[in-house]
Amino acid sequence: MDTRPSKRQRRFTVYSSDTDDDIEAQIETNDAKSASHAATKGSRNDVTQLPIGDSGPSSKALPLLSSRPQTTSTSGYSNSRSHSSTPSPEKKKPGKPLNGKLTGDSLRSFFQPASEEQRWSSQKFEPTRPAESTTEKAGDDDDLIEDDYDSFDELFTQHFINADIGSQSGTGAQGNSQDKPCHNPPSIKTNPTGKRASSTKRFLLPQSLKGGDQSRPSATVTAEDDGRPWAQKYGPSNLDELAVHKRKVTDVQNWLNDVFIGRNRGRLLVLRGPAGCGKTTTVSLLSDTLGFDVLEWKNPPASEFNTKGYTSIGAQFEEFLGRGDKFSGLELDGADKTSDAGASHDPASSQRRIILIEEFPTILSRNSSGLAAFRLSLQRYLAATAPSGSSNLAVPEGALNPPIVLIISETLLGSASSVLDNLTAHRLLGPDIYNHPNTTFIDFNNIAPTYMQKALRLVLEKEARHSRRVQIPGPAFLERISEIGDIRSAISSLEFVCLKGDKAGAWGGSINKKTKKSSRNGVGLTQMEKESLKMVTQREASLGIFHAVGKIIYNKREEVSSTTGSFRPPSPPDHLRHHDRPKVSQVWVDELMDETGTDIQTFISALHENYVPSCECLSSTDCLDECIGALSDSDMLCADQRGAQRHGARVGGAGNFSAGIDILRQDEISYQVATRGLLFALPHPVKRKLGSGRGNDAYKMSYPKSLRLWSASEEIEGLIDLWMKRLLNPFGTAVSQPSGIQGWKNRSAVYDTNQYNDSDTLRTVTMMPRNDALLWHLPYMAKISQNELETEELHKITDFHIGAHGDLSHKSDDHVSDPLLGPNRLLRRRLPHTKFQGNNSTFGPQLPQPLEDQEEKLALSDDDIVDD
Amino acid sequence: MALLVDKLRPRSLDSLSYHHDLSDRLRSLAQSGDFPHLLVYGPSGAGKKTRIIATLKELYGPGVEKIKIDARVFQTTSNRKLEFNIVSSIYHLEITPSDVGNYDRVVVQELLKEVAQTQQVDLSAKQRFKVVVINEADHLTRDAQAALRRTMEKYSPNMRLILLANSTSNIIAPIRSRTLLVRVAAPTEEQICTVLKSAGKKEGWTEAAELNKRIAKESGRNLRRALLMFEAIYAQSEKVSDSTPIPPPDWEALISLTAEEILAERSPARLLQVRARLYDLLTHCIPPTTIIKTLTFKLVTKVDDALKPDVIKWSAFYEHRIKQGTKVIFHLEAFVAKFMRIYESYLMGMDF
Repeated sequence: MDTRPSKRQRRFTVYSSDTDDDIEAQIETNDAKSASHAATKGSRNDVTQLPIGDSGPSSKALPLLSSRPQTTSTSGYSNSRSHSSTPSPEKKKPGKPLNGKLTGDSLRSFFQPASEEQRWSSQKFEPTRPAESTTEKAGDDDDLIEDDYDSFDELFTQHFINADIGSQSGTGAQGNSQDKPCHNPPSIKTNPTGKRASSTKRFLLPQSLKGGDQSRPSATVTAEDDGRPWAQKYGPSNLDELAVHKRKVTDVQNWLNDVFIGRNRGRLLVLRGPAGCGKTTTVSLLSDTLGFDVLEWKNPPASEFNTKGYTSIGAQFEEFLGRGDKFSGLELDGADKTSDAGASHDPASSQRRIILIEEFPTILSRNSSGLAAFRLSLQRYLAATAPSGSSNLAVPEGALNPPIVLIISETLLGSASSVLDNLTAHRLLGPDIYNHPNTTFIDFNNIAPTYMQKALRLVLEKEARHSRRVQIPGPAFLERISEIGDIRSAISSLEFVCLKGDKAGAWGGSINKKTKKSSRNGVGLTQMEKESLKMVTQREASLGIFHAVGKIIYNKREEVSSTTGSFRPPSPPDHLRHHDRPKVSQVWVDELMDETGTDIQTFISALHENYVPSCECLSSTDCLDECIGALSDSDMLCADQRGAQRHGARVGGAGNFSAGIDILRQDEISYQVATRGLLFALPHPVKRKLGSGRGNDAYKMSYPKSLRLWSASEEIEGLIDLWMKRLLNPFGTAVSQPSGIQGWKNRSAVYDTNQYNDSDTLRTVTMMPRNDALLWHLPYMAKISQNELETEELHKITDFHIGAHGDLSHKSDDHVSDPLLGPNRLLRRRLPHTKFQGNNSTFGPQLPQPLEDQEEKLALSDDDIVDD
Repeated sequence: MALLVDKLRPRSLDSLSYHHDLSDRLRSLAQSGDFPHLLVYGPSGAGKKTRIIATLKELYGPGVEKIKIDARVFQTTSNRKLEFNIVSSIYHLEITPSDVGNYDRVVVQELLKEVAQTQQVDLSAKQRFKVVVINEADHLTRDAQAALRRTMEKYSPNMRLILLANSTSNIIAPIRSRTLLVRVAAPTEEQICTVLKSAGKKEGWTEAAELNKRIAKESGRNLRRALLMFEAIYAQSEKVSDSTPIPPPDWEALISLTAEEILAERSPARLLQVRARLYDLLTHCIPPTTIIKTLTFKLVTKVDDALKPDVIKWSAFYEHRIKQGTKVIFHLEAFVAKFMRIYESYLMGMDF
């Protein structure tokens, strides 16, 4: 077994610049501890308290120090963020924004075995800790201590929140309860660290090879009283346990790395994806690996409202962002003043920090003033940190404000009626920020079943160590549960199921069986598992909808040949002969209505999405025509008012306004028209077929894409609005240099263009009809413009995915460009233009657009699945 | 970056290059001191707006060109906030109420009332009234038009309206009767050629007369479009000759590609492909009526005469449904399927 994970050190940091004496230091340690703890309770952001307070909340140290109560209190604190599925230490970090005058010191708690997750979390730190270590004394302490303590529970290498090299010379609080004299200056050098992130991977490796938790089978679990759900208790403790696809993790990691070393000027990273796909966990684990602090925005509870002097949440948010700045500024100053000897240590490594926004300080109704304030704050932040002119890559990393990471659980699905309530990144951020050059998006997908199964298995193992459970749900069960794609929910389902306790034989798997592969196919679901599954997984309505759609589009009919003079409907007169359908349909349309599993309009859209392959027959065009005709009729009859609400829609106000019971009636009528029309028009023996080459896809049902279009088109619409404004105000569009961009972002509501009127730029400022602008002005502007920044946005509006479908060229583009964001960003921007020049065909640029990528992804099932 | 269209826009009635008769009349109207409400209509790219602004300059002098751009926020009855752009000088105000969709009535009412209740600030102004220019008046809802009608009567001493529309058909009769109707016809192809020629000369571009003619034709007698095409060609190609191709906008290219695909094969698989294209267009906010219209014209040119009436009929039918219904894609696809069927049966008829 590797020694590294087993080493554990209780780390404690104190403000100790005045202390000379070891013993004194120890006393002070205790004082500081309590003081700092108190400080935690108070305003954590209060800069004036920094000298004492800020080291305190480094709860990683505190809980571990010795006493259990503290542990629980801090863990409670970390739990306050209910989303997190991991109790990773990063959450505890926000409390230690620290100024420069702290010295780290280690204190070891050997009194109590650490709780399991503490152990993991601290272990996680190990690789990064070297990176952070800058203090000399700390290093030696550790070395000494390690010699003394052989216990499994550990020790570990130094971890410092914030080391100020200048202040600690000559000081050092020896928190070691053994009162060991710990000065051993030379050992700094032996500390295999000093550098940082780049080296961390090396240290990570052995750990991963070990296979993580398997190496600690004997861990005694003390977290019994921990009442948290499994998803949090047994969350991943390092990147290897993380169920997210590795490439996504690397994407995020690269982005953060580049930002920290100043290679990338991006300041806003948006992680979006469905709930429970590991966005938050990825960030928190990365914070350990890369060694940065996370400053998290929390909506203040209503009770704090008074104490803050009636400032609105928006204002508080703005202040929060501002303070994020200020801290780094302060710190930098401190380092400059005091760093005399320690030039070799990069103070910046400990200043790395991101601002995490997961709760949005607004009520998210569109066009609300709160949302506007939120956007404005972000915009200001972006503008303040945006590249200033030609400043180069050599800017010290601390000089920039910390990057913001936004985590958005997007809800894209949604029935036709709830589209307006959905939250998307675009709705939250607005077109300005959404298209800001310093904004990066990384999309997370649902967790692939293979990863999910591994993760679930891991959770079960962790839990079994705790509860000494022997029987666990079998692999078949896990497989079924994994289909959900939402890991948090999958784990809670698992917990729920496992609550039942284990009767022998009830479960299909046992904890000791390691090799599942062989038996995977053989072992089916046991009886109890089947029952449990029923309880847990039936919530997925999408199965219902596809089932119902299938009934319609397969168009089963009675077999006439069943002798006995079976009932044959009378045939119509000759002139209606072509409407003759000799076989009676087996689909009970009225009853099917209750089984649609969704609302009627969504169902009809799903019919539309899926009916086409069924029309493959001799007279397929007739069939197609009749089918879609029926659907078109049904749309005329429906009472959906979405069209009327479409912003800026040119529907001429002709929405069908009706109220109350009428809507229900109309819905039903349109349902009947659609289903019966399809049943009537589809050929009888349905042979689904999709042209050539895609044989298997013919049987696949897909969720109606038409219901998802709104999110993409909303983005484009936002862009168009932006451009309409720019066209109106030509002087704001001086995009020639980056400062021009800031100009856009900061423009106020009113522009007085008088001062420009003297020059030859004088022109008539007037409005242009939106359609003209969209259809003619912008497309040609995209062709004419020589400005890369402009053209990129314009192309987003005007470009289409011309060319063969299933064209894969954009895929590679997508992947390649991500890691290159930093200095190559401009290069990438230029790419469209050069391509466009070379490609002067009548079709204009055939650029793969991010948007199309997205669309493709909707259709492809899940390109992220990698089977192991 | 100023486009040619903007750079070369004439700023006085004298510098307008065609419809001189109309310009003269507008000038005398402006000088007469009794300026009526105007309803200016004509196809887009004909020069309505340019003419109006030149007329305003004639009315008030160069002060009209000192423009302020304002973003106003209106609160609707349902507490929704609408942002709305206003272009204004001290003498006039330009708005596009159709930007706010169904809420245009609120905007029209509140804004006009506000304007009308304030007197002209500039005492030395030539006219006592202010002018409000309303763009896209034919997109106004009935409600808004009714509101407009009341305002016109009530505040006529302080305010004149100039409505701009593509056609008068959507404008209610009371408004038509209260305004002076001015029609601005699209420039002829020769007139466009002249404009292009002078533009090219100003930029120092080599002239290609044939090309100009083709542009004029291609632009559908839309001067704005012609100038954009003109500039795009010169921006893209080093060497411009008479045979340089005129690039269509990408959406149009996509639609003509789609039309060819429809003609080439009629099958469920092809319909799915077409559907994907339609989704693409809709995603890019191309108005569905534009899609169906463009598609129809691309198709009609390529089918036999016997089919044309039918194609147009169904196109109109489904265009109407697009307006009425909510699921645009259904109707677009229905049109495509209908066309496939008509075309297929026509071909079959020929075969047999």
